[in-house]
Amino acid sequence: MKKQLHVAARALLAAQRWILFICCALVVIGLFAQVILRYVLGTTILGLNELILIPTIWMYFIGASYASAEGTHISADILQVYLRSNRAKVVVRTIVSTISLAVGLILSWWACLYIQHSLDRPGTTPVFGLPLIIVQVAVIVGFILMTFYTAVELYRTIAQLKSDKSATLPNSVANYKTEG
Amino acid sequence: MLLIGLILLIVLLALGVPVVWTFLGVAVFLVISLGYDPNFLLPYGYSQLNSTLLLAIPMFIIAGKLIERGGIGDVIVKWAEVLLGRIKGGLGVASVLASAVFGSISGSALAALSTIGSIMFGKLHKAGYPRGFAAALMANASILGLLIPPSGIMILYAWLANVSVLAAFLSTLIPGLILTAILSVVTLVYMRSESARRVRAGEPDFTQLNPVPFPQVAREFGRRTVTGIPALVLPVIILGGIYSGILTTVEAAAVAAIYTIPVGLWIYRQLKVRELKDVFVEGAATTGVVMIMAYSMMILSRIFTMERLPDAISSVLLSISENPIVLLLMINVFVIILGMLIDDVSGVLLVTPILLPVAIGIGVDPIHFAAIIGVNLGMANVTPPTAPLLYFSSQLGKAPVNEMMKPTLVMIGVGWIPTLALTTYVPELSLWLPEVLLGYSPM
Amino acid sequence: ASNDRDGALILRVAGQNNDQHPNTTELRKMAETVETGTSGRVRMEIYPNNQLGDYTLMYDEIGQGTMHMGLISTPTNLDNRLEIQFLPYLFSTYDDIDRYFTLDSVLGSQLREIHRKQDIELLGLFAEGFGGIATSVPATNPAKMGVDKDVVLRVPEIPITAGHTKAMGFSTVSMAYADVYQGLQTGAVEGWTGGHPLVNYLQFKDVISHYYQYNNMFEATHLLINRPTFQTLSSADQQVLRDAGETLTKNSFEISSEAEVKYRKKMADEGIEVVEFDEKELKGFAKHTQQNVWSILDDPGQVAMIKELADEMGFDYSPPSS
Ligand code: NA
Ligand code: NA
Repeated sequence: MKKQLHVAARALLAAQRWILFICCALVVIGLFAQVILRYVLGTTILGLNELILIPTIWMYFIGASYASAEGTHISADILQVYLRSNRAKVVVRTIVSTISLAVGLILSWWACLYIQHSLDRPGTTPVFGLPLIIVQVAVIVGFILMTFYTAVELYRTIAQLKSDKSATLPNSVANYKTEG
Repeated sequence: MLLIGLILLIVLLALGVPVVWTFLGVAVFLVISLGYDPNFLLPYGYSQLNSTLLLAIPMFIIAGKLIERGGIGDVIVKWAEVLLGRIKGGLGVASVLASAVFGSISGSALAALSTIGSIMFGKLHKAGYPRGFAAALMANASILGLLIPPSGIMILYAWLANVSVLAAFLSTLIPGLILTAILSVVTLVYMRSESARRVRAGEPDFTQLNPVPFPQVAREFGRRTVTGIPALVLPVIILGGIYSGILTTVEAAAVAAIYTIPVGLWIYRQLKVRELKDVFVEGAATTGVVMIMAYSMMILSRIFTMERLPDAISSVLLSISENPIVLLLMINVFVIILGMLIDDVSGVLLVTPILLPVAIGIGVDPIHFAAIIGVNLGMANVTPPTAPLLYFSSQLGKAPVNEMMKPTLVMIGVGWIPTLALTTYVPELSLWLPEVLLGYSPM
Repeated sequence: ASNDRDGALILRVAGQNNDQHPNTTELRKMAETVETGTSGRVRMEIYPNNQLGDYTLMYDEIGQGTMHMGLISTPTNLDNRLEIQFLPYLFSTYDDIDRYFTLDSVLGSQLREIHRKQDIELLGLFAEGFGGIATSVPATNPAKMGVDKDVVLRVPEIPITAGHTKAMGFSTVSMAYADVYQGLQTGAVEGWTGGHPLVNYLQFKDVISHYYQYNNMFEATHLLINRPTFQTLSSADQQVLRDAGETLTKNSFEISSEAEVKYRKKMADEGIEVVEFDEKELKGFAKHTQQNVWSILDDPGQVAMIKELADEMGFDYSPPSS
């Protein structure tokens, strides 16, 4: 069971890496193409900007959730730096993860409401008339994944708290990360 | 309720809750306690993220990562070295100068530190520089990466303040040059006195690493410029492209990213094809960190605006004093204190929506305010307890943080604070270039 | 759905211009009228300058009720029939505006119906003015439609606008509005369409040499209120808001036509060559546009709307069947 979970987690992160790579490459290429079209071919594609927007928003939200998995979101680690006892550090981390998880759950719920609202009032992009929902879905996917990784983090700190072998505290879910 | 919200904000940040969850947590608290319908918040954040200007941030992040791997830092360092290698303390000054030059192609201090720092630390240690001083110097100098245009912080500011990003970039350039000069002088003075002390104490003095003999400096400089051309073209592409109007800010960053790929792969041969995916993934993940924070802050600041928080702050400040000098002092002190607690990105996201309306209300031009915020929050990166660049530099330069503290405090005292004071009270420093180059007319 | 403090109903109102702009000052006037007229029962709290978000978002929120009112541009993403607002030469003179751009004209009732679909009530129309084309180089044959103008023109990403300027004889480049000033300064583009004299004078006077008052666009913002919120008001209070909306609409026509004259003069004083066209020329442009460009709006809903409008204005519109 545990092994299967590891495999699933690894597959999820690998998928996120591919999404990030593809979105990021599409955005860079799209912007570069815009310059080439303007100066080399003397033209523009009406609506190129709204096309670039799609991978952009996906990159933002999948990137944010990937950073949750890696534990690289910015925080003020004052207490982690200045607290002496390892146990106190783990306690603080448990509190932090609990608060983060609570906020994450509320935001995931709000994201559901948001998507429902968007489905009720379907909007489209101005030039190509693409449904906006294909971009907005990134918001809910991002929040659910961020919340999920926060829950994993909380699970780990609690396990840590119970066993209290603080010497080998894993830093984050990043341990699942595939190489390369 | 707003006050409780602000206190909650500080408490959550201090506890170490990630900034994104802090911003959103406070937003959740305010929405519930003030009885707002939460339905508008996510669409609002989304509509704000949907900005071409903002896209310049990931593009600069990715260009920065490619530049970091592409061997372009070496070229800049070698260039600065040949000029300054013969002077006592020259290697330290070369580090400052290299950071400043690197600043003209990179949008962040972290990129400057990891690129220039990873090359310079070895050299500085070999030459006998004290590790604490070297690490402190690199941390402080790397902030030139965000004061010299382009700058990720200024892109965020321009986006939040709805002002010209080109003008915002230029506003911190002169303060950045002032800081370059001060940090150089600090290095020279420090190294001379340290050298004298060592000689008196009979300790080994600094060595100079293969200084180029004086008569050959010009020729060697020319040679290194030629081999460096592919790298030194980058500032021309980025800044030249933006300020000539040929490229928009976001396009310039994308062109720089694309340009760096062949240069790194085939000219300097430091980048490997199989690394490209990693670079993009890392860049996108860093982007995600910044953007989700921007998104969260938008949600929070929407509530602040609806509750007229800037008006409330204005009236509190104005009840203390109506003198602009005193008011600007108060704003600066507030931002300095906040900056001890948070990093520059969170800082600009938090401070701009709340304090810019206040600043405009007391007659401060938004581009002048850009420079004040830029310098103040630049410094926030090295003011403990939250001082990301200090800690990163300590790791990179293998120096204990406590040995970095004294030199850092000196640099804050004689470098940052005077630069901040000049920037605050001499608006021409930030407004002159935008006026001359862009025809900007201050309010 | 509204905040209810000290007994008064507080309406949050979105504006999209700065404090000095007539759009904001007229909203403030309206707020006073409403507060007096309802004896303080209804108060309008104004958030100008896109403080709470751009018009696309504000429109959506007015529909939802998280914002109550707005004097804003209207987005086309929820109902593409609103693209009618970009239809060039639907109106070509202020005479047309006075007759066909009122709340009880055919267009007025069409717009009311479109907004109602989103749970929004239309209370007024604010004329921002007729726009033209500003350039940094003289246009060749400015009064001849379809003849090459030798100007690279920035157009917004709106197909009907881009198609029209192309049909006029301009080379078109799409570019974000935020980049237009710099583009003109550096020559990346040689002109832009979509601005009336006020905008061109205040924001572009340093980078343009010619202004052509083509009247190729007529810009208006709509005074909107969330319908359920509106219906919670007593019918007397509703009438106060309707009357105030009507006044705002009337005032806006005067304000915008006066501003056009004033800012054209100011541009001329700055040394910008201001080119105006007489009514006959304008009607000629309109005819050319109807025949060659209007068919870009080919959605059945859009075509039906245009036909109704043509009926009211007394001409026949039959788009080339696709
Ligand atoms: Na920079
Ligand atoms: Na700090």
